[in-house]
Amino acid sequence: MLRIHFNGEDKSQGMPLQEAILEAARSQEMMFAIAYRGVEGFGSSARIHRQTALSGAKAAPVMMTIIDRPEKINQFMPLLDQTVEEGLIAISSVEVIRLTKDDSAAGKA
Amino acid sequence: MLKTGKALKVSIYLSEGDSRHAAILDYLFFRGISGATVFKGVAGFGADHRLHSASYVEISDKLPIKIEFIESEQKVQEVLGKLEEMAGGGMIEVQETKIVKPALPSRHHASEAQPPVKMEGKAKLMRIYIGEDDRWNDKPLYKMLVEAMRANDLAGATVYRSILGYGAHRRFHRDKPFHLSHDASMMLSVVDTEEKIRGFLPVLEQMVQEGLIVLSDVDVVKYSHRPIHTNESVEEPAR
Repeated sequence: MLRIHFNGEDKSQGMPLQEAILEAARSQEMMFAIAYRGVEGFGSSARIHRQTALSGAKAAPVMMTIIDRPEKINQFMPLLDQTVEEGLIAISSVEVIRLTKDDSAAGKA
Repeated sequence: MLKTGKALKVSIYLSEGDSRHAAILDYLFFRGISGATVFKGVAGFGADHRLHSASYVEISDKLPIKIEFIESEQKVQEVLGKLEEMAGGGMIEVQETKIVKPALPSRHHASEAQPPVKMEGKAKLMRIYIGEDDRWNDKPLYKMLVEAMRANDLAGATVYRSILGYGAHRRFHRDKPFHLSHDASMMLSVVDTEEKIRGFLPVLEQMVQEGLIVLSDVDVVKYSHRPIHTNESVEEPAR
């Protein structure tokens, strides 16, 4: 499981960073990707980012989670490195149980 | 599942107006009680000794309601404490009964709930990813999952709504301004002992048609119940 924390105002080639990462994840056919917006937070700049009436929701921090097998995550890292200029990336191992209508595959990711 | 022989019949008497019966029925359901029925009375009186009945001129919202279920003594003891709490001012009656022929289940049975365990040190973090629109018995699945977790005494659950994502169902979702999205991915996170989490998986498999469940190891640094201790409450964030 890959978790990427960054500022909600960050952009990559003019595109909001979360959308850029999501596109990158899709292009690499990563199994699962999801983005959440935090309420408040601070990062390497030690500036508090929070949602205000002026800035709208965009100023709040964003956390993205990407889930896939370790090999796929490792393959994805160079591309992710290029996309994310500033932010925190953390990897942890998790156990995956997948529930679908027709099949259910489980394993380590 | 119920077997032929001795069992207990529990009757809970309530008033229709307080709408406690729905919560009690949900509780019994998620605790894996073999079956329960809610009866609606036509007229009656209770502890306040006031007669309640429905008439054409005025529709009473205080008609009596009776919830009845039959279970093994052990199971009844497990749920009775919570039921007493939930029934409020209502009366609960337990009587011995004999099952001559148990009802045949049409589906497989939910796992049995376990009593709450004190949690410290190693624990499991479970994340469940489902769609906001997913439903279970005509109710939002994420809400029902929280109810089911509560009934199974899991330590606690939090629901998050995503702003962007794809995955479990390979659909792309994006929160657009001026559009109320009802297709967001929802994430539920629960921390509890491995035993409790694994014990809850059969219930999940029954309720979640499509979705992703992810388990990881966490260290619980602090977990305090309602009677708050003097220590600062800090829980280790998920890795």
